[in-house]
Amino acid sequence: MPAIVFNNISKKYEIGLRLGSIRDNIPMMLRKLIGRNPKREYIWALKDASFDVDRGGALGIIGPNGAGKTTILKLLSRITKPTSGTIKTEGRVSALIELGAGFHPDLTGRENIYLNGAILGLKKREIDERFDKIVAFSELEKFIDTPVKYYSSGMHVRLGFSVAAHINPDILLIDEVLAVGDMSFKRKSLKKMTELRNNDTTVVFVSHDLRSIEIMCKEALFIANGRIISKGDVRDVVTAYQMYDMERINVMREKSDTSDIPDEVFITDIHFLDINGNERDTLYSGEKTTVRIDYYAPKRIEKPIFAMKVERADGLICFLVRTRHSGIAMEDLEGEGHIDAEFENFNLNAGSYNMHVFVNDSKDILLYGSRNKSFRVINKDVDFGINSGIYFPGIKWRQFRK
Amino acid sequence: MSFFRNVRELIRYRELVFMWSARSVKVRYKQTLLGILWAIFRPFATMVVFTVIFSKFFQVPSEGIPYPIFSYSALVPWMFFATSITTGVPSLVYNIGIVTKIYFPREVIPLSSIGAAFVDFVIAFIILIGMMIFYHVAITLWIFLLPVLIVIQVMLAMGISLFASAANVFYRDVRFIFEVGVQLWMYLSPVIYSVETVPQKFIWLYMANPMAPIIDSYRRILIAGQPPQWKFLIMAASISLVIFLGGYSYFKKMEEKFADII
Repeated sequence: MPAIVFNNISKKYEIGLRLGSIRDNIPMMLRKLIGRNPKREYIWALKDASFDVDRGGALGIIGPNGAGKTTILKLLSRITKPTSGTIKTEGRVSALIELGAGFHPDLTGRENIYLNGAILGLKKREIDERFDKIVAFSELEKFIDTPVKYYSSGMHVRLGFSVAAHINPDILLIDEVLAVGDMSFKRKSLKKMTELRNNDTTVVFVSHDLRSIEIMCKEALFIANGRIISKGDVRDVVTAYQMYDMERINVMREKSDTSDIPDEVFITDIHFLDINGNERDTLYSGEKTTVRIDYYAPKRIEKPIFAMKVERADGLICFLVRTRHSGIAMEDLEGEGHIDAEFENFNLNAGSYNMHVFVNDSKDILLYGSRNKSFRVINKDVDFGINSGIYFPGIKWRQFRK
Repeated sequence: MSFFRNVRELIRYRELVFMWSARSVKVRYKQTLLGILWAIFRPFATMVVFTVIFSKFFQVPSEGIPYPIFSYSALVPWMFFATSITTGVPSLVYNIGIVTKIYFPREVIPLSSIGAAFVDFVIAFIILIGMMIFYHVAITLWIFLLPVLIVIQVMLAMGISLFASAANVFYRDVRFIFEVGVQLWMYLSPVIYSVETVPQKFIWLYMANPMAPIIDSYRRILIAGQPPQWKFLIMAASISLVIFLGGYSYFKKMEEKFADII
């Protein structure tokens, strides 16, 4: 049973529709009177978009600015109505669409928690029950009786997220806001969202941070210019988005418009090379293997950190290695190139795996880019299968007699 | 019927109306020295000014009732009405940030302005009781009609606030029209003078303003110890009900466009 059905939705906004005062509209009214209707201009914030999310599912929404991501959240939370199409949502929807929405600057954190809870549909008694948890999660115990106008933007997010996440919503909608918080709170929120999702809350999560999306969601949606470009498995969608983003940046470079080029490293491809340097899709347990990571950095990136994570098909993490831990200082990246990671013995047992390669900044905080690649490993002698573990020790057995 | 569905949803959100009203009261008097005392001071000071001007200089007849309590008994409900409207009409636009970011029945916002004005009303009313004791006003059973008057008045204020706050989203002029309008409206209602001074041939026209019989009735049941003029009060109640229903349905019709325009 889907918790969200978003059926063939279009949403149109009128451009320049700013009905400020009657005086501004007198010319328009006059023109209407003499029968000449002024030409109206519309933009389609969303066009024929359909998707659904199962109960307890998590959907990530990615796309460039102005693509219609927030419009989807606003439609789901009933803030605005679709021009055409139908939306069904099941149960209580809690949305954190913008920072400090619903907070009154003159009221204290405590008063705002009650007000916000009521806006989200809670009774006073229900807020009483949750109050301590909300405060504890937000880590704002000391400031809870301070008017929120003295809060920093990070404190706003903490309070806003805490309230939204603790009202036990059936559907939780989270916009970009978490980007404002500090790293530790961001991690904590992601954990909380995962916890909610595991307790059957349906989560829709908009973010520019592809890594968070990949952690949180199995399914994703990539939209651009109000249209769904790609939807389905989160890895495919993220890849589709990265390709799109790279093309967009190339177009900008051709126009030599460098101001807007973001700090990004595109992993353009991942290759597996055998001992002879031939490319393969299937690897052999225990053989010498080189993983070649092609990258493209449109802008100079200082001393990045490359990381490589391999998971078995069932999600078990086999290993995660980083250039930093290996004591290798990477040089600055610019333009195209590749990084080789040489495995003397590729000690994975037979099975299906996924490799996730990502590039972080020198402090390991920001993500510059990432890419996934699936591959298979077989054992030359016998196919041991999944029950035989992941590690291929490459042992030589010997037998001795007394 | 969508009307009943809307009312049911509104009832589900009643706690929000209470909380939002409390928030408006808190915010209004936060960082003021006198705080909630302003709720008393405003009508009281106006009463003093009116008494000096209209009773001493112009000698407006007040049916033999001491002018201070004559005017204060009308000013308290009038200020409740005026504050409801002047704070209710711009309330949606003031709360842009919330309307575009969180869903809840939008009528909560203008209705809470009335709720907040009601708090002031109750406080100012306490002083009225004190004055009634001071002037030895004989209290009669007619005082039990007070809730009926409040209901009629609130219905009227709701209808106007719902209609005008929604219209104000599209045309910001509306707010100013009502700010000026409410001031003129007071002179068309028996606040500073008595209904008795209105010429008989205009009385039906005069009483077509629902606030006229409402204010007159307050004064009759509280101070004069008389029943209201039923025919006029029933007319006021009917007009108020029509305005309420019309205002509410207009509000709900426009509601879905708020977030796109604000």
